Amino acid sequence: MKKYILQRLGIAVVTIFAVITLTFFLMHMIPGTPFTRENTNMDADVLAALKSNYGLDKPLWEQYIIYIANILRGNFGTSITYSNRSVADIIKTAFPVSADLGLRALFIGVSLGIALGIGAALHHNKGWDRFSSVIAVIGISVPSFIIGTLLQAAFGLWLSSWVKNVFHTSFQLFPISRWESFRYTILPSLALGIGSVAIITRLMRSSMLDVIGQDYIKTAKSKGISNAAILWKHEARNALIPVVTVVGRMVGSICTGSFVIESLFAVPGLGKYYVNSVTARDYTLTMGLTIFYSMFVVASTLAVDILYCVIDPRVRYTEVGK
Amino acid sequence: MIAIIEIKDLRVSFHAYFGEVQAVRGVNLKLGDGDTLAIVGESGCGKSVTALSIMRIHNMDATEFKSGEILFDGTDLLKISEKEMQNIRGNRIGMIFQDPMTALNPSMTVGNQIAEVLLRHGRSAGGKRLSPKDARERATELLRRVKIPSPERRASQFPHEFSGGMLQRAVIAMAMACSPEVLIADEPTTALDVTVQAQILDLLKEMQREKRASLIIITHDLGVVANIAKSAAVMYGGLVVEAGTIGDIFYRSSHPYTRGLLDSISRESGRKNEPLKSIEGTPPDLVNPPAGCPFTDRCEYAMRVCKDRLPPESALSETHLCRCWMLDPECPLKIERGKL
Repeated sequence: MKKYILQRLGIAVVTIFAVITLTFFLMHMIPGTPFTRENTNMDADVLAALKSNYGLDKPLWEQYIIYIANILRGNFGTSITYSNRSVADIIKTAFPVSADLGLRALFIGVSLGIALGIGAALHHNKGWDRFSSVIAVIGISVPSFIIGTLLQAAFGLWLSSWVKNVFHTSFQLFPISRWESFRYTILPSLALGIGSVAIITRLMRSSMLDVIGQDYIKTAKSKGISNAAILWKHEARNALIPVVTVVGRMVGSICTGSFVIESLFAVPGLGKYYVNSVTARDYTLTMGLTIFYSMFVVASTLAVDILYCVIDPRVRYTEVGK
Repeated sequence: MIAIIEIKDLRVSFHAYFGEVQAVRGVNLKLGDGDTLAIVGESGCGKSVTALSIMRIHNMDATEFKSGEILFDGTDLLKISEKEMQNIRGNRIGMIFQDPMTALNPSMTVGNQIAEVLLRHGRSAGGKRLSPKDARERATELLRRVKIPSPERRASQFPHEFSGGMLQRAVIAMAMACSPEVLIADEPTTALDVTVQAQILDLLKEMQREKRASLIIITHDLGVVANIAKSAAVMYGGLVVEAGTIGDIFYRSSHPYTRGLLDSISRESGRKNEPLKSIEGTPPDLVNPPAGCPFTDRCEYAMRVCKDRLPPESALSETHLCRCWMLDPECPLKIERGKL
């Protein structure tokens, strides 16, 4: 096990190095510089001064080596567009918000998805199954910004105007923008989570149906244990194994910020910085966020693989030749 | 003979998308207390469905009990509630399945799976429910009893760490954990290596004797029948076509299907290069079962009446029953019992 984890960590380092290298050169292949849109007829001397200030006047390979050396020292540099903020500082303030939103959305996705999936499997081809299919199709095919906008219309427009007419206050139960208290988190989490609800529902349903047909469920029944015990101890537990893989992959993408949902609900998360940094060719910020993102994904994948050993005893990583 | 299980005119159907499959079409069976009954027949003849009906563990949404009763110790198992049935399953009737590799939950240790049935039904000497620790200990004891080496270590292992034969031993330990009065074994040796089959049968016999259980064994292997059973029922097309003691079935068999099965056994004494005999054709489609004897199309003695009317069960002796028109007094083809 220890050897396996070390091996995986080694692979992770190589992966991240490859990501850094690729992103670095791809970034610089995009035409223009960070200063392109500031002023089209910028003075050549000023441009040269700016470039040399950020070290962009050196040959590309030299910039690459300097960048790698800085990263190894833990220095991700300063953002070019947000000139007084370091990349690390931006991640430190914005990531917790994104992660918070992501975890809430994930919680909704996992709990609702598993419940709907189990319900659908137990009532296979009946009303409940059809209902959860509809939810799943909506969740998969309707983009999150439409769901987000609809939620905003429902709670920010229709509900609040009704409240205004009836109670004569402008109180909003679930505010549609900013990120302040629990009430503010409901709508963005819902909008972000509905996609994962759909995916997990479908997966849990098919996985449960598969397990229910297994011989060992017959064995469990032949022991006389109650239906509830069969459901939790034998069916749901085994059906969860494939779901864990998918949830693990979701953690990486959902917690590192969603540009659409964050800008729609004015949530001060990472998503905005990521998209803006690319359009503004803010090399250091893009690089820093990409490295952070890939490290996060690699770590969550590794965590899932380790979790797998715990929940599925058939998966034990034994060293070859032993 | 006191019957512990008596099945009377059992009819079971499955509702599939292509229609109603009449899997069991009027089965009468008796299992004597302490007896071993073998249900024999080829795939799809209704033998497993009959046995699963005793436990009531098939997919209940699609299954319909059309008629009949299954008397267990005087109670009709088809009439009692699901809760009452749960109290009987694993406690008074145990079950062993065909493939031990898939019969155990892959994410639960073997010891815990045996302990589970003990926790559900088991009682200590004082009549109290077992504590988890006691249940674990008893489970280990049971593994030792079915001759699994180093049972303490094995109890905390998962099914994939066992071999097929070992797993079937564990499954037997689980089915026997609460000393049930009846044990149903659905092809317990079919999925195992030939070398292991005899060991498992010996263990079954031993456990049966020790716990004084009655045994129903479902098989298509006549060798297994001869080895373990006292009486046998041959099923075909959802019906029992012949039933009797082992002697009745092996030496005085009167149904052409039973004879066909016996002729299809490969024998050491057979002449060299003689092809193995087989019964031509396939069993009838049970969505549209034939009106007459289901075996008509494959039977070399078939008469016109066979196609139109189902032969009644005729008693050849106190123990021996057979469903064949040739046993009718009006049949021109007079046959002696056991000789065609």
